[in-house]
Amino acid sequence: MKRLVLVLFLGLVPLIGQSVDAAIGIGTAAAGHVSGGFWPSFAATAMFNQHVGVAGELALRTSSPRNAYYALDYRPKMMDVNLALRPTRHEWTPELQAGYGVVMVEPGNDLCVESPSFPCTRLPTERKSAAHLGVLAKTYLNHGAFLRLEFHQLIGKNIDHPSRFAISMGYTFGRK
Amino acid sequence: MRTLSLSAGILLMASLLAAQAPASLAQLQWRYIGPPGNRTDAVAGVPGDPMTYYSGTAAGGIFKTTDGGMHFRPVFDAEPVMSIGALAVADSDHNVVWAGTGESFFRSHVSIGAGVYKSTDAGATWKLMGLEKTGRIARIVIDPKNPETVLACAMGTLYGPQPERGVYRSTDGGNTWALTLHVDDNTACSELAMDPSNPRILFAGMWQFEDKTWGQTSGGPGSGLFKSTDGGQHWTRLQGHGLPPSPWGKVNVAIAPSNPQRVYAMIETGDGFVIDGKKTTPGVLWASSDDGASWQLMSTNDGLQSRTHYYNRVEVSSDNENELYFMGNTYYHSLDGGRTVTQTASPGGDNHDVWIDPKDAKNIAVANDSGISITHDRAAVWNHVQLPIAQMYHVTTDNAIPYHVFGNKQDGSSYMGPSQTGAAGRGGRGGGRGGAIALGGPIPSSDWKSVGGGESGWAQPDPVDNHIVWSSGSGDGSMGGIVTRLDLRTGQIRNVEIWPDDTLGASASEVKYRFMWEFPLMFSPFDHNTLYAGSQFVHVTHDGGQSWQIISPDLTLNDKSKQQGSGGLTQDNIGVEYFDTVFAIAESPKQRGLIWAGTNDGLVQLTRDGGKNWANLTANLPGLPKYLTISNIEPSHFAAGTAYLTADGHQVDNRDPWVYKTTDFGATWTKITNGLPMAANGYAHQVIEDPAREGLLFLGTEGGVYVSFNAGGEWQPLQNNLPHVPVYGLTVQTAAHDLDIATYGRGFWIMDDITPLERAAAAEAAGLLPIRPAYEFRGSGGGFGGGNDNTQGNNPPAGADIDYYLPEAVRGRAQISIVDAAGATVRTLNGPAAAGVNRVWWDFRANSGRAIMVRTVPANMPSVTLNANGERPAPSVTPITLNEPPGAYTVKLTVGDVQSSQPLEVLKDPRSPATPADFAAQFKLEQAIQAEMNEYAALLDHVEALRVSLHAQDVVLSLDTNSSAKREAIAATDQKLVDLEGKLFKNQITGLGEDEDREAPTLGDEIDHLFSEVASGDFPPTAQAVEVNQLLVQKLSQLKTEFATISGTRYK
Repeated sequence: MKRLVLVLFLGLVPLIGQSVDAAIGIGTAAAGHVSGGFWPSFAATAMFNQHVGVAGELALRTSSPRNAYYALDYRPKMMDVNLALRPTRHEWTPELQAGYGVVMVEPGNDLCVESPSFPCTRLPTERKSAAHLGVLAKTYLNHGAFLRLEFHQLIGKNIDHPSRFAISMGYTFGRK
Repeated sequence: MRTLSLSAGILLMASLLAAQAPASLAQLQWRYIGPPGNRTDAVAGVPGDPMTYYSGTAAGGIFKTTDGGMHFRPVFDAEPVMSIGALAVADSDHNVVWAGTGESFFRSHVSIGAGVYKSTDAGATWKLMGLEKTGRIARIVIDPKNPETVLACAMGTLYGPQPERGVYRSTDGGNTWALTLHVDDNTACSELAMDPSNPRILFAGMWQFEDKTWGQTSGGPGSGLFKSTDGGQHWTRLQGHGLPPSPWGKVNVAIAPSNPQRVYAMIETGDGFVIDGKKTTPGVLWASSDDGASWQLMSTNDGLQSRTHYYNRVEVSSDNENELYFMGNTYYHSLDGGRTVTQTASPGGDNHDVWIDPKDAKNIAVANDSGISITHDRAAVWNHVQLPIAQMYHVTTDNAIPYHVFGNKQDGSSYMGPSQTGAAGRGGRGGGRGGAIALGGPIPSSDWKSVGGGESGWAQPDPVDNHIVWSSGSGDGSMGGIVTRLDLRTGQIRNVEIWPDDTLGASASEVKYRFMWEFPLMFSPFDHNTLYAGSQFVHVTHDGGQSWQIISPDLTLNDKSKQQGSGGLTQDNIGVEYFDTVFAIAESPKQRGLIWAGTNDGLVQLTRDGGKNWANLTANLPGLPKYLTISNIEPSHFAAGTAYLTADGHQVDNRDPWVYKTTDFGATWTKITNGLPMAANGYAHQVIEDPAREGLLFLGTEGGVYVSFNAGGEWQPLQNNLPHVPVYGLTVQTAAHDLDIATYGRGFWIMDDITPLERAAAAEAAGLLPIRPAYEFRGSGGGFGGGNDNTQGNNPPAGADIDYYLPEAVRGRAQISIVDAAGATVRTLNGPAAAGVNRVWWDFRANSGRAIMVRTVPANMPSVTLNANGERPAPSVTPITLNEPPGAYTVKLTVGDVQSSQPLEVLKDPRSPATPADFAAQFKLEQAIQAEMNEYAALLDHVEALRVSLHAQDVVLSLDTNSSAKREAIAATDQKLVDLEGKLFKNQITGLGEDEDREAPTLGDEIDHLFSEVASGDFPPTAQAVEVNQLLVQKLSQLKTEFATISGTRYK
């Protein structure tokens, strides 16, 4: 599987003529009852030229969120797809993202009680979509490996503006 | 023909088991029950570490503490010999520990060793490093700078001349040894001391000594004090220059670490007593201030070395050349090099070895007959620690249910203790406030008590009246044939000595009756008012000891030359070395008046008419050497003419096992020792026949326990988890089918339920073996254990033991189901599926009631955590598990392709007053309460589930900023549920820190409490219990309705 991903990314480089970033990160989120915890993230950015490209990212909590009084087997996720803009190239290269984002809260299993009169019930699911804004900055550790700081914000109607912070490491394929 | 087939089957199975054992019997485990133990005789600490000590025991292995004596654990149990004579820790590498085996403080009842052992991992593992024939090691010294250079002070067995006595030296860590000091074959090394500042300087004490059944001889030209100046390669005898003239006996020597020029020698000279018409030399302690060149008499106090063969050790403080510690029956301390001594706080009774920390003289450890004593303030205060190392002479049991175990303990008295104790109330809710002691827990040392007798001999409970206990011996041992009779109801002990004349200090030839240290005291199997005792005669009483009659002539050789004073230079006559005495008496349970007698001078005698006529059968025993002690005779339970006997020759320098069988009233005998090892500790002590199966024999030897399925045709170890301690006594408790053994070094042990051995034929096919009826003991309580009791015994697992036989191992686990008389499966157990006999225990408990879990934490206690499933047990309320009542059950086994069933009878405690109707009424209400608790648990689960569901809704709504109204409604409903929960369980508490006290009882607590009340003891429920239960049923119904209203469901 790893080889397949590598081949696909390496294949994109000659296809679009520029570079492709692949990164994994770790962060946390502020999103109502699902706030907190560790959120691993997986991201990719493909640049059409030195300044413009497309980006996507998936982040999910490693553990069910628990508040002080309950434990629920929930696995919240946040996803986004964006247009990416890199205005300059410095030691710390900024990247601005704007696009579409989703925050999802889904139960891992049903709620069951040991009772014939109480069949297992499906706990509620919520999926909120909104506009996504991202601000990132990366610096290269060597020719291709980079370190990146990330801030993501969902903005929309009737949504509690979930945000996410992360630090990620990645590699640029086709960097010139 | 059918009988023939059955017999053939039994023999086939017996052969099969014989071939497979011991692995096939490995699950039949031994359990230690007590009593608190006694003798340690070697000790070593770690320099500069006040917390770590090694304790070498007389015959129970090595124990180690790393917390200053709070806890000790055995570290030598895997080795084949358990008697320890010396311990040493290398100064230069504290992981290097040496152990010399074989007790060096000698009496006639001490065990023997087989070499030196070395550990390089601070006692975790040990390796035999040779010197197997040296018998006893009195001291090991290690070069303080080089742990590869080691010297061992070898005594020999002390039972006869041998070339392996003297000082051995190794320079390669014990791989090879050189005997560098050997005076002659009659002389032991009794002490070795190395100059810690110059390991080339050594002193050795040498001791001419021999022990026989008829006496000890200490002293002779071999004894002496030797010095080496080349690290022990060459030695020079020191004579004159202030040292006493010959003859000498035992010699002890010590070097002052703070001034190695200062050397002390404690020498057995006879203390000036007149022996055999010759006056001996006075004096006990000599000192040298010039490295042994000249000596000065410091003390003539014979108390410093007491009974020399058993004591004789002086040690010098590590920081004061004039401060001495004398180990003996009396403990002495001196601050002026021995000129004056004081009796300060004694570390214990009968002190032997002492270790003084070379880096901090305040830390001292002493090995004594009370255990081990440790001080951290220069002997001002001692911490006395007992270990589970009791030396028991014999074992007997009464017929109580549960039964008691009896025996006499060296350095103790005759003891009585429970085979098992305590019980949990039905439902197993022991512990906590007022809880009963749970079955399966410890037997505290306080459950053992003295029953009046002395430290040796026999304790015999009346086989009919369990309140009467007879013992031989007294506080001074069994000198003079002292017999006591205790009535446990009154506590009155009556001394009914057979001939009440003082014999202390008298030789055997000087007394009217020769009652040896552990003379026999045996009941007639036909009349509990008839007891036999043995001197040179067989005595009998029929009237509670009011009068004794002699029913035999002198049955011994009566060799007056072997009835003289014992001890040599230090005479020591306390009955131990009385020769020409009757040592074993046994009346056949098959024929009244058929009485066997064995003597400690090697004779076997038989009367078939109650003592009118006796026949000497000794000549019929082929190959039996002279002068062996006939240590026991076991008449068969099945044939009058059949008997088994053991003969013990270790005191005449013969350590082979001698076991014989006759089937024709002693006319012919067969030696039955196939399979028994010819080892240093191979000599036999007692053979018994199982009372339920003919030809099933058990044998105790100095090195362990053996079983024979074919009347001695072949023996195999029955050791399993039992350390290789001397097994002096064995008995099968007939009703319980338990094998009880007396070890001379680790107390009493029980192998519970030996019916798998007795019913070997039933194991011919794979499946369950017949199950012995099981008693449901309840609420009997027990003694109170205290603190860190290293000596507490172990109860058996609670309940009924279930055995099944598998010819070969099966993958996976066996499933055992317990089915009640109504056909309901009340419990399912999993068990091993190994080849051979497998055992599981059913604790009479049914499958557990419904778990009582909650899915939330207290609103005020966010620190409380939930498990991986998001749950936690409800605090203060526990599920109810029923104990099944006495009655008939069926056990079903499923393992692999094997399916089998056996009936199981659960009996009530015979002490219980309950009737079947009482049990039925009690169990009926218990079942009802359990059902209520299960309903309660379901209701609580529903409430909690609804709360979780509401929270889930709140979670998803939290992402929606337009959901405040919905979320407020959810919060309101949740609050109603919280209020309801406050009536179900204490929902503000954690269950920790006794915070149950902080809230009033809820329904769960009330159900819980009522069950405990109803389930206590074997009694029908009280009227108030029934009434309270009705109220709780109503409460439960009300709360169900309340929940239905809140949730909008039709919850019932």
